[in-house]
Amino acid sequence: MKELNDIQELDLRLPNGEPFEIPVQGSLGLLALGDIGLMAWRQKKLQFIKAQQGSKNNNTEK
Amino acid sequence: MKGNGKNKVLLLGWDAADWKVINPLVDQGLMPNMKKLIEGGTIANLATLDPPYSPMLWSSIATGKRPYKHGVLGFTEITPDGKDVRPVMSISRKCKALWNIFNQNKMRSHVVGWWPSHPAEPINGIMVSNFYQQHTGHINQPWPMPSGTIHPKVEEKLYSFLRVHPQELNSEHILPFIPNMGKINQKKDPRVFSVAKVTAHASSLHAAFTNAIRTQPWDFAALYLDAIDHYCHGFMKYHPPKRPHIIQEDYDLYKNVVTAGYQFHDLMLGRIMELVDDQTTILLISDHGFQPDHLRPDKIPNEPAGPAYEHSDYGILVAYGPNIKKDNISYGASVIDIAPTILALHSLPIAEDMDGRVLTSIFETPPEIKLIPSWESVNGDSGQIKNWNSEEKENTSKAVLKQLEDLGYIDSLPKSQEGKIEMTRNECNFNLARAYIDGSKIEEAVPLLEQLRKVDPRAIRYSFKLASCYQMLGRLSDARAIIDEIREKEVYNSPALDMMEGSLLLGEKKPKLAIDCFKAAQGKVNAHHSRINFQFANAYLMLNRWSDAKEYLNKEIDIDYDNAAAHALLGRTFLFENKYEEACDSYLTAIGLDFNKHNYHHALGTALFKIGKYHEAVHALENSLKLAPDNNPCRELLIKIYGNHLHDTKNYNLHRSKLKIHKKGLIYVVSGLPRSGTSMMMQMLKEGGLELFTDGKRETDENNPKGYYEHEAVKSLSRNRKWLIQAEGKGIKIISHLLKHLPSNFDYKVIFMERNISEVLASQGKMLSRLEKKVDNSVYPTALEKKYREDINDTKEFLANQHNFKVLYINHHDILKSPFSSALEVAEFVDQNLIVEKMSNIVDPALHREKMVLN
Repeated sequence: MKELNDIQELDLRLPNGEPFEIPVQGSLGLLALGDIGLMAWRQKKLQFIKAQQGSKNNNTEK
Repeated sequence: MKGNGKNKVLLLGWDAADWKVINPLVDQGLMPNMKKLIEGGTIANLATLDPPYSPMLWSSIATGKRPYKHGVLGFTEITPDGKDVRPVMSISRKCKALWNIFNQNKMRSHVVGWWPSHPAEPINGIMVSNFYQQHTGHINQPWPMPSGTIHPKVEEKLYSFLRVHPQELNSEHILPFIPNMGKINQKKDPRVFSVAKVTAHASSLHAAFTNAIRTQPWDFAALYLDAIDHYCHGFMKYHPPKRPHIIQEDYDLYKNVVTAGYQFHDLMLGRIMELVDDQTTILLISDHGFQPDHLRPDKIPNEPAGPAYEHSDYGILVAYGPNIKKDNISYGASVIDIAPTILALHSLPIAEDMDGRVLTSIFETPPEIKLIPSWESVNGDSGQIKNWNSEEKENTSKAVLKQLEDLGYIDSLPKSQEGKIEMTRNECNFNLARAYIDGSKIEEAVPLLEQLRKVDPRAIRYSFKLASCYQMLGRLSDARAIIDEIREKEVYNSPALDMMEGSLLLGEKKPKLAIDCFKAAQGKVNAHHSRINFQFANAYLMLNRWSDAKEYLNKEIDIDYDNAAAHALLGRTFLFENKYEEACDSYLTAIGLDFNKHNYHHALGTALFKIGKYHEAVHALENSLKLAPDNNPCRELLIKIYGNHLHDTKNYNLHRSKLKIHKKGLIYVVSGLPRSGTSMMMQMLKEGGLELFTDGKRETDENNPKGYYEHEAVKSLSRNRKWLIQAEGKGIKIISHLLKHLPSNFDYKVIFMERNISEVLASQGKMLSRLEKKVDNSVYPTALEKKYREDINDTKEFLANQHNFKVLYINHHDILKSPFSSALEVAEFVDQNLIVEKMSNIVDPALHREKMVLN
């Protein structure tokens, strides 16, 4: 997912202006947003994986 | 890119989308974006073409031309070297698509997923081919894009990344389709994965499209999605209401897939609507519908492209934009009208070689329509691919062929190369023949079907289609020969054969026997697909049993309200009964369903005229003439209304002048069997002073010592009639079996020579002997005599039913016996001041060499 590194942090918002919390599992709604939704979901997955790896590493160091 | 203030057109293709599914979902609030589009725009049924196969239809949508012009003839085709089979591709298209025309006009287009569009054409804009979304292998394996998938190449990396592999999806994506997917053993049931696959493919194309229109400037953008078609082929059988033969467990698991598929498309539509500005016109269309109700077939026929049986005749059209009528319904649109309408939206000329028309009724202010003869002859870079060669093409083609096989669109191809090629050739030729028939070019379909029947006499669909063509051409004895042969050889015996024979018997004006055939088939055929009630109605109409006819037509309409022909026939029944108000209602419904039938408008105009609604009648008759300018009886009625009832001198004169243009002149035809005295009659006409249309190429000989008076061009009458204008006002010899090929825009006075058939055969035999041609004594003359008698009966029946033919039957024997009175009769019929004495003087009884001795 090297391409995601080239993409800025996506800022998806709800109609009322509140930030939209992207689910890690994704959704049909995100796919329907097209390229933006797909990239946002993949970015979220990547962040989640990194975070998990980070916590694993921390646990290992401990 | 949003908001550059230019007029833009966005074309969305949802394969197989159907109003019968959409309307209830919109009413339930499940498709809010579609609702917005419908309420703010114009909707219509979009009539499909036959055969209703997607690559052919989407090529017609992109070109405005029927398949025999654009050249995409099915799902697969033979490679140019004739050695292999491949899926149809962008290079299969023989003419320019919209994006090629825009390219020549310095406009930018983005085209994503169009079928067929691989390899991507080098247009000014982004093109993503229809091979783009096809996944291969496991998600962890490399997934390279076939060469030629993306134009321009520089975008390949980004677009490759935007593809969604089915295994990337999870339960969050599938649960909306299959809420109880947890109960399914996916190792045994592949249906869950098929939903994931279709959804992933659509998501890939949608991601590519949204990226293109969001990030790059454009004038025209087109996205094609086949997901609804796939959801429907896989799961419409489980769509509510449940039918008795569907297993309850399957129904409970999969009943929501189609609905969820449409909802997913509505979400994608909403996103696209967000990405365009208010100067953009959106056209959302489908190429055909998909039966969602009691018309769903219980079984799919075991033939190539059998799944198309589930399709219905009307797709959808929604138009939405700045100059589009709001909350409006338009009638009579067809898939071939989309390209001309989009050209008009961009103020570009419509090509006269396009088969479609601009849908003017969708516009608030109809655009000015400019015309050019053809875009094909316009020079400039169109972005079309001239030569394509890719090392990868073989593997890619195989993957796509496999997919088409899995979907049931093509039969499993034989293993032998020859077998593959032959099957593909036959399928393409059959599709071409069907396309010709759909375009009313029956004569072009006949040789293709004759050849197919020769190659595979047991393929009943070829025989049925050929018999039906013969019947449409008035060649009833040829149609009869096919049906009789099938019955005799017992190669096929099913209710469908009874239906076919019943239809032929109607053509033979034997309605009682036809009813017997339909009764034999009743209850054994699918009432919708066989149109059995419609056929019963036709038969009862022929017997003047109006109420029986109406009863069957109402049954037909109950089964399928969208059957325009049934409404039109009901209108005809009312016309026969002088119930003109009811006739108007029926014809209006028929026109609403199928605008492109000129005879519906003509009949409506006639009914309106009868009840004194002259302005409305004029409107209907004008519509009819737009579709068939040569329909002189229609124009004559229009002239009568303008002149006698509306006192509209301007239009009266306009149509009178057009009547002269379209009413091509009168041709004097001498006809009959060969050796029935036709040359003698031609000579009589010449001596009487009538100019003849002959070329003198066939020289005088012992068989015809006074000359043949023929023209070579007549032999090509079934294929080429352009030369006929040269025969206007002249006498021409045309043997009887070619009369059916004479076009309807001329009037004819036919002098039909009758002679004892035994004498004709004896004369033909002697002529063949003199020409030293071998005579087959096994068939000659007994079988020929029977055939000639049938042909003559067919021809007489044909002539009796033509409004533009006047016929004088002259007996050969009578001319020889009383030359003067026969000549007088002919001269009076011709009505051109012929000199009767000179005509009679040339008759030479000595030439009557085969006179039979009559007891």
